[in-house]
Amino acid sequence: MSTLRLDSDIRNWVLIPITVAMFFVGIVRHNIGKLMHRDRKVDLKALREAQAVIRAERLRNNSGYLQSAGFRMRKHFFCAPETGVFNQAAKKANPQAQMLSDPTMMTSMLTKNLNFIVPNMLTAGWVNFFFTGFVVGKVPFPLTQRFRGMLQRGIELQSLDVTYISSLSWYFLNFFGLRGVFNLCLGENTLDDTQAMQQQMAMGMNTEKAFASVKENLDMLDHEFVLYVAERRAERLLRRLVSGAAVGEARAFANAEF
Amino acid sequence: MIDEHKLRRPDPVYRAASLVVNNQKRAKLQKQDLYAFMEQLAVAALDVNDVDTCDRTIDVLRETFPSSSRVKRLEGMSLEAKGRVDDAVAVYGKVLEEFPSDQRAMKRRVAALASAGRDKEAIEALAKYLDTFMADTRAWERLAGMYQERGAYRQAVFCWEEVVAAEPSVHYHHRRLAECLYTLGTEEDLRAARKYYAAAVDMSNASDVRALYGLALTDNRLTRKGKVKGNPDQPVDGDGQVPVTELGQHAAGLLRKMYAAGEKIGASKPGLCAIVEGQLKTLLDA
Repeated sequence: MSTLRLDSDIRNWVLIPITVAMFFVGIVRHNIGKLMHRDRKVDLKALREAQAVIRAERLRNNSGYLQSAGFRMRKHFFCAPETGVFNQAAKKANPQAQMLSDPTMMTSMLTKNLNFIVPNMLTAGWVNFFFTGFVVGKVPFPLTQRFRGMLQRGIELQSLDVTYISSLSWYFLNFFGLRGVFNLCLGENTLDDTQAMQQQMAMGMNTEKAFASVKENLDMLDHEFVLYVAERRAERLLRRLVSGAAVGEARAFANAEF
Repeated sequence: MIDEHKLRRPDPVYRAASLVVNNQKRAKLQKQDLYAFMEQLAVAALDVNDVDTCDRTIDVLRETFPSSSRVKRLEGMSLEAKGRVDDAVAVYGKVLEEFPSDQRAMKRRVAALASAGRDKEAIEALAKYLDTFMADTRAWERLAGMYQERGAYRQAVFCWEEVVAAEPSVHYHHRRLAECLYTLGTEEDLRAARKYYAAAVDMSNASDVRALYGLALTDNRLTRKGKVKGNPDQPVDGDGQVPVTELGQHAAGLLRKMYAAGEKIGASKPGLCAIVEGQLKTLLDA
């Protein structure tokens, strides 16, 4: 099929206006976001639990370096039936339920979402309204037929080459592409659309599950103070070094026994 | 750049930052960078004892960011520099009321209390900080240092254990833990100290001289304890792995070699080798 020849007016009156409009909408959104931004009150308890998980993991990994007394004290701190850190958190409610019931968090989430969703929907609707029904451009690489539904919304020709796209797909291209431009123009703290979407999809750390697994690991750990190997190795190392060997040789000799 | 490497070099920072801040057009700064540089200038000014510049900078920053915790922190630091520690602590307290999870304000408060000599309060504040932020290794180190200064070695050992568990491949953490245990002095502690000294020596390929000294001293003490128990020929060792005196002797031998070599290439003072030899001889013969 021969290539279609598209009117250059399309370029002037469709492609460029869409890009320009999205760019300005983005800037307006950014400034409004900055005005409405409120510092989120960070929950001390949540911080404590997150840090406790890190500390307990480190403890489990490196418990061989600690003496038994030290390890037992910490294990008691973390896993004791009533007062242990991990058992205390289990009583706390599920973070999701908490999110819905906490009014300040809800309003901040709402404003963030509003700021993000509303302009995007408006722009998409505007593009759809004004610029449907015709082909806007041609994608430079070949595509399969599956993309037809996505790229040719509004164009009812079944036999048209899939590489010819409609204006809505141009909108989506801009949506993802202008992020880089915003970074250049507005500095580092611009709204990251894709990041916001990802955040919405992945819920925050589910503390209950994390706690349960860490606690179990710590409970089951059979502690052994393994530092006596250091004595053996140090002795061999020193013996060699004193008798005049080079450091590398002495190191190899020290490590060789194990 | 200095900020990136987290160094503390007040003189060049002070000079560079004042140049930059005073000639903003020539430096072609972006607005955001300007304020970061002003913050650095304020801190550097405090370091070189120029409190006036610091205050002026803080005033400018306060106009732009009236309710920022960073500016309030700088105010607190300036008050500290003037010696008004109570006021500084009050400022940090207010910051913490507004932003209860501001780590840096908490740490600044501890530093202010410690510099004023109010050790007990400083230790309490730091312990409270660590109750929430328990994964902060540097804070554990500082707390261990504070306990050591007051002679509370058992608590210091606990803190050092935290540090060792967090960064087990750093040899000087083991060495410092060993030094605390050695100071405590009971037989069990001495044996544990020996293991940690050995670990430090092992990890540093015997280049940690303090650890070598530590080994020699620990072995010496253990031998003496063994003798007191009435067992002159059998130095006691719980694990039965390495006989007690050997590690110490090897460590002493290596030390002697190191000092001799240093003397030969002129790195250490000439009389030092003789002193060291004398010391080590008494250590190992006793």
